[in-house]
Amino acid sequence: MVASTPQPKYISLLHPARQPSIPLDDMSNEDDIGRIIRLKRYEQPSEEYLEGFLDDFHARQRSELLRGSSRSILMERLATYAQDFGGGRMLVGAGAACLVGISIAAIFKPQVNEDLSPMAMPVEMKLPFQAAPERALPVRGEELPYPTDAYPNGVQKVSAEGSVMLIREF
Amino acid sequence: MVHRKRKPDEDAPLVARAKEGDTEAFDELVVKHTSKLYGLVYNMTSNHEDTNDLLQDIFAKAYRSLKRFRGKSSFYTWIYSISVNMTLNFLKKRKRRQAMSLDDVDSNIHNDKDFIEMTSKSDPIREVTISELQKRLNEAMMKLSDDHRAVVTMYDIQGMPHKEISKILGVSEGTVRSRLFYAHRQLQNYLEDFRKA
Repeated sequence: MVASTPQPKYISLLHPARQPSIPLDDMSNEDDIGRIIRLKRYEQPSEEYLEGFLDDFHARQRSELLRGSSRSILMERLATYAQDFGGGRMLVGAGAACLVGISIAAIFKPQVNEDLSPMAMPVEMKLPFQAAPERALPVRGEELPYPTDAYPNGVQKVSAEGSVMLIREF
Repeated sequence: MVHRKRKPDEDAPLVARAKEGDTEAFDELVVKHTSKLYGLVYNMTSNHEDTNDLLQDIFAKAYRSLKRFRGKSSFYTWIYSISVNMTLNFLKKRKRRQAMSLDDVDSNIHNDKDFIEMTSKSDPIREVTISELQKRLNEAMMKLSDDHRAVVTMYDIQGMPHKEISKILGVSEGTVRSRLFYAHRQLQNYLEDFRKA
């Protein structure tokens, strides 16, 4: 018959092969510590604080909306969505990097003149004498056409639609 | 295999209403859970102003993320997880700034069995004032690592079971117990003179 050796008073918290054991004596000391720490439950905010918290929360929600930080909210939502999706940190990081890249590209995209409206296009101004300096001033002795020759039936008027309308003189 | 039925979430009707855009329903959830979440964040930061700011951030984030809450856990567990993660992230950033601002202690502490025992006149060593005790407890808590403080807060102060803590922190129950053990051992050194003889 083998004499049984006294077993040490230890309890194992995790798998015995991987975990350190905790002596039972220490456990009783731990209970004391637990009891002392539990007294922190009595440390509480005032009633007024709890009553005012909801008002503060509403005010903050409103100011956030007014500040319109839609980009930061979008980024946060995307990050949370990626986390919920089950992706690891790498996936979240890669996604965030892509988003940052796209955002930077969108912000610093070079502006092309083709995108400008016709009104904003630079207009090359040419004065008559610049276009044809020899025709800018009438040459002495040259006969100019009489206006009625140019418009024999009266005055020409251009309508809003661009069509030519003639007003006859009676 | 036996599947245990999960207790129905008592917040489910409010959550459903809030999801449909009923802001008053969300307000009710805020009022209901502020006190408990305040305790969690305050005991991890030991600072009232930080706790207030963080709590606002937590509820704002919960409000924005509510549509994605699928009800796999209770609403309380969900928002509690958000709170723990946000507070741990905050503490990582704060790191160097030791900022302690203590809250008022509830007068009910005078009726607490452990407090009476500790402040017993028969033992002059353990004769302490509430403010001294509060200061010492907070200092001791701040000496712990963020992870250890989180476990002590959830288990010792908030009375949460190991299993729930492991779910919230995303670690095994063994890790929770191990952290708790080492945290308690560290606290013993700081609170030696408060312990029972």
